[in-house]
Amino acid sequence: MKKNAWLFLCLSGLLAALPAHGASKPVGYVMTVQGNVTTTLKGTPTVIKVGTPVSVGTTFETGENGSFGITLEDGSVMSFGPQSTFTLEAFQFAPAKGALKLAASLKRGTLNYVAGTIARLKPEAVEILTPNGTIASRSAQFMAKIDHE
Amino acid sequence: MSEAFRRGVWLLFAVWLTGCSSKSYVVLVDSPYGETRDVTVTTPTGTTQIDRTQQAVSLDKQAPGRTFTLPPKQILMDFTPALAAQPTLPVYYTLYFDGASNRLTNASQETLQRILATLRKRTPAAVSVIGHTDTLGSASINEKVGLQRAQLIARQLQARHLDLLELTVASHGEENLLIKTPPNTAELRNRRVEVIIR
Repeated sequence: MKKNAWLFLCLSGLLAALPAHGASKPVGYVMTVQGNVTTTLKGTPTVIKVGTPVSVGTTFETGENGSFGITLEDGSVMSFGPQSTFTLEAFQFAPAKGALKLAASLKRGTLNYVAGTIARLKPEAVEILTPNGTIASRSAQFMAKIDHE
Repeated sequence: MSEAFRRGVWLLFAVWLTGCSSKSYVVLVDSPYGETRDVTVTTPTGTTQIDRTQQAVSLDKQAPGRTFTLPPKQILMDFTPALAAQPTLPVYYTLYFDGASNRLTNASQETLQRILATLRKRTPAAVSVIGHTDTLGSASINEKVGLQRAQLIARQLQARHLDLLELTVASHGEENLLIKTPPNTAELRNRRVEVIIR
């Protein structure tokens, strides 16, 4: 029993290490920043600057005068206005393997989205999750605003 | 305060007051970056699709999925900071090789110079170099050949000591054809390297 518990611990450690490693790989970068914008990865907030990497699981928050823009590996571009909370939930860009996914959540604030290669190859692979509905699109650009509730 | 400005402020105020628009919404806009096709919103109560610019779908807690039209002024008012923060859009280049050689065609050598000129002007910039082959020969060898071609170009970029956020090198082998061909077909236009500046 004890041995099994150890085995379980080792295995779960191994499994946990895999996504953690994946999450640390940047899938995009912060390209523009104005005002106060922080990022939170695993609970520690840090002020972002141009060149800050974006990886899966990263949450960004903009202050009252904050705004920023990111460009992802597939050429998707997203930019945000003041008092926005945004998390990159999932990202896969391996067209040769058919692995395409872009999921992000906008809890509050404003988003300007310009489609990249993932959206061109597989529009249904892109999803923007908001508190009261999920957005999908086959357009080159859309914008969303989520009011503070 | 000029008269025109005052009138503008009142107009914005009036637009705001007409507030049949939702506080939370997604809106389709006329885009300089490509086609406007549609936006679909899925809520717990159903699915709503819009397909015209200035059309919006409510994302409010009350009545999500309701559609309405937004005046351009309102869109501008809500999204000016987000739009101002939009990064420069990525640019895509394709380089071709002379026959089966690893030497770029004359036209592609010029393209390479344009790539370098863009990179010198553009900061911040991240670069992807992706090699492609035709379907002649085995897929595994083609993957390696694609990578060799990409590395060849990547080395030339690295030699310029540009200040890049990242330079990634990848091969799509024969899996991402520009010109669709049957297996085992020589096609010069498929032997190429894509350079994407983000």
